[in-house]
Amino acid sequence: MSLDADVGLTRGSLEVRCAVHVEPGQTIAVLGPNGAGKTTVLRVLAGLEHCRDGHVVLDGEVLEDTASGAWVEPESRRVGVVFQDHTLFPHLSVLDNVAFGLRSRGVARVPARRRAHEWLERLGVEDHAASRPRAISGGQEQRVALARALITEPRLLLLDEPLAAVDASAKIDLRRTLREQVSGFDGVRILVTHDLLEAAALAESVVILEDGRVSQQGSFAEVTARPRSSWVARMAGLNLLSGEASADVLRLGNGSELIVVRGVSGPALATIQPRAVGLHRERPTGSPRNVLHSTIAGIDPHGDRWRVRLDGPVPLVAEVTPAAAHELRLADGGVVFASIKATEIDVYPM
Amino acid sequence: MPRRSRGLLAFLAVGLLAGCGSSAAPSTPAATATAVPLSGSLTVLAAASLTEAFNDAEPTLQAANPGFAATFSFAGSQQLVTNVINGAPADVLATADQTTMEKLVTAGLVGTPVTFTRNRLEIAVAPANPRGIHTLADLARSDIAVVLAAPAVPAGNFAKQVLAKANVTVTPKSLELDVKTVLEKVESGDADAAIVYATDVAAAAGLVTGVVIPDAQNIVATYPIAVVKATLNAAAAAAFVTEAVSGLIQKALLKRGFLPP
Amino acid sequence: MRWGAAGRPLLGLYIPAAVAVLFILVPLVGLLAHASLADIGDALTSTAALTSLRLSLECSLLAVIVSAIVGVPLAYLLARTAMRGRRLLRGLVLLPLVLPPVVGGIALQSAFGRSTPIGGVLHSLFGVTLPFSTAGAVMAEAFVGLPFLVITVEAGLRQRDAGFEEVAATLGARPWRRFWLITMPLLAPSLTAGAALCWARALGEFGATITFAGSFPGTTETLPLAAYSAFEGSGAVSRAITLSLILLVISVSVLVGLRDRWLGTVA
Repeated sequence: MSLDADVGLTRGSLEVRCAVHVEPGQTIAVLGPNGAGKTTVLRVLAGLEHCRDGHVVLDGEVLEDTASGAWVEPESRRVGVVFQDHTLFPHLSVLDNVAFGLRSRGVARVPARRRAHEWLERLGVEDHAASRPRAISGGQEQRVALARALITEPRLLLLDEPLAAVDASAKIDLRRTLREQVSGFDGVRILVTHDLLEAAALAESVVILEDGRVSQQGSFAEVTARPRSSWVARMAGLNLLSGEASADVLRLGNGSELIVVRGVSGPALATIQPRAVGLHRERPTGSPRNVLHSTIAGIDPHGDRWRVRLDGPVPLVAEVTPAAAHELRLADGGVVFASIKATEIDVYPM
Repeated sequence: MPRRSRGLLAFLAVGLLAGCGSSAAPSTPAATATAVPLSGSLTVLAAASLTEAFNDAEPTLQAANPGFAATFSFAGSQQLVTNVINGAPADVLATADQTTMEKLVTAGLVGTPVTFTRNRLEIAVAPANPRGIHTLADLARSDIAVVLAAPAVPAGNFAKQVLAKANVTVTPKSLELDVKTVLEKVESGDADAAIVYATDVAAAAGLVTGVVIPDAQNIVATYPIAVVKATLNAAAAAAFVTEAVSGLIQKALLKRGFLPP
Repeated sequence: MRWGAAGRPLLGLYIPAAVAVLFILVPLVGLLAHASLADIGDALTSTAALTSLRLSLECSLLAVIVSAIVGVPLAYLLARTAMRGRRLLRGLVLLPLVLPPVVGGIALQSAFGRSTPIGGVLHSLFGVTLPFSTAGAVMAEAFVGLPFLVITVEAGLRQRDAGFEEVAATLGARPWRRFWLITMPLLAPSLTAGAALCWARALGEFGATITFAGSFPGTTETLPLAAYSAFEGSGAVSRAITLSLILLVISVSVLVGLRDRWLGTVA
């Protein structure tokens, strides 16, 4: 079982072109900012929208091919979808929601309900079998929605921001449940999300979709360590720079230069961890390091650290402890010197 | 449920507006042979069967009496009576039977009624009489759709009497609230036959054909006319009554097939 | 009622609002003042009144059923498809709302009367004559009531997108199953509201009925027609009032009952 899809279509002003190839037993996350076309791609895979040009082939079966005109209706696709909204049918009980897919495929009421009940048990929500969807919490609702999608044994499981509508306290539990259930499912799995953490928890590889285009794909570790777009870098909490590398110098677009470890030459990207950026009120001296004369543009609390946004020859984000921030009187703003060791700059070809 | 009678109200409103449009010009001395001058404006409520005759008479009346204007409202006599009881502004009332007029006399709302014309009943059928209806007895046939006026309408009351005289039992399809609507059902082809006034059949010549009801079974309807006591133009109202009994209106009535009083 | 800090009631609004209330209330009080208990008792036990009452209920309910059978699909197409000429079609559906009922009756007669092509076929093939038949009265009532149902149901469909139907599709439900198991149940509140409005309009229908279907006790003389002919015809004003009151009590109790149950959730 594998999914091979290449989807091209226009939605309003957005031109979407997205090719994905997913092996069975693998979860791929389509990751990107809101409005990048992720949900549109998912809807095309589910058969809820036609694409303008391209194809969707699941398990060797052509679900859509604009060249040959092939098309399989959504109800015949064996696709399970967990939507971010419109999750449960409000007029059916939780049990009947889960049994719906089996009933639609011709299973009699009694066995369908029995299996639905088993699925509710697996997801730990059997106590709510008789409830109406509006009577249960967001986290429970997503568990039921997952049970409803999985009970039909789909070959392709599509998860559209499954944690988006769930409150923070329920997220951790639900994320674990999702991971357990999803890894036990042997079909092709696609997660659509704008949340890096969600992708990290559930997917092995990611496809970054920005402005309708795939900007990067690879394993989660690869993509987050060496992002190719500022959006990914920001989500991964990294400073991303681009420029021209030669010997031990990275020359940035604005002409400023950084000393780096030699090894890459030509157009290159570089990341710097915010906590690797040191801040000083006086110009520091000593070892081979880059010192940048910067101005404080803003400070945002970030967990137990503060993130300091810097303007200067290289726009950067530095991370300091509140104690250090206090000592350096960062709240007063003004001029600071940012220091970065050459070894803390990860340079890779563009 | 105000919508119920909206259509009717709309029609009435149109009638009233039309009346206002032709409002009275300054009165000038009558230049006719009529004994009493007709001047100013009058609102005349008249039985539906009088529609054509009164409308015919209006221009001649106006020509003979410059400055005179009449506004007619035609409906089933029973409706007109209800209107007068409810205080409708009117100067003259002409009904198609004595019974309805009697109600207003008893209530003291009109002056002494005068009989001004008479009418007979006829069976109205489709042109060329395709269903072969020749007698009242034919109306009892189950394949004939008959429409009558409601018993409270003079024409309906007379029809009932006529059928009783002929010893015929008819189950009508509908009981309409004025005689012109009864006739319309035959004109439109929805009904095969109706009992209406001979003058109605004549007025709709080409659209319906009349089947004469023999005198032995027929009834002669006598039409009374009276001045409404609440009138603000009593002289003109009385003059209008005179015209109806023996003047220009009477001529128009005779022309339309009504019988002299 | 709660008022925000800056939201003190605007006293100036009370006067026109009171006028509106009185405008509705005073005629009703007038109606009640004219009716005596004895009259109501007489009317309730008179066969004529009961016949017209039964006919009114039958006709209005049939009109609602007919309207629902054809109106729900129409509302669905108007709300959920990108049909060409949809706006024109919606305008057409609204037409009976602005058409004077009497004109509507004349229109029905010119289309379905016995001597018209359609009416002729119905008459010669099936022996059905719509004018003067209960079917004609039902048709006249459906003609004026249908727009209310279509508008309300269409609004209900527009309130939410096709999301739940899409979920059902991914779960393997074919189009008709989606329609019956998802679309229709979710539509229940709007359908009830639309049907209630349609029914209320049909129950009070006068102009189109008397023009198209005529008036005969037991066949086409519904309660409003009976009230009118009692009022204009025999001058039996108290009987007309009693009939009106019966109509009033039935419609108000049904509408209030429905409002508590359904209509509140629609708004």
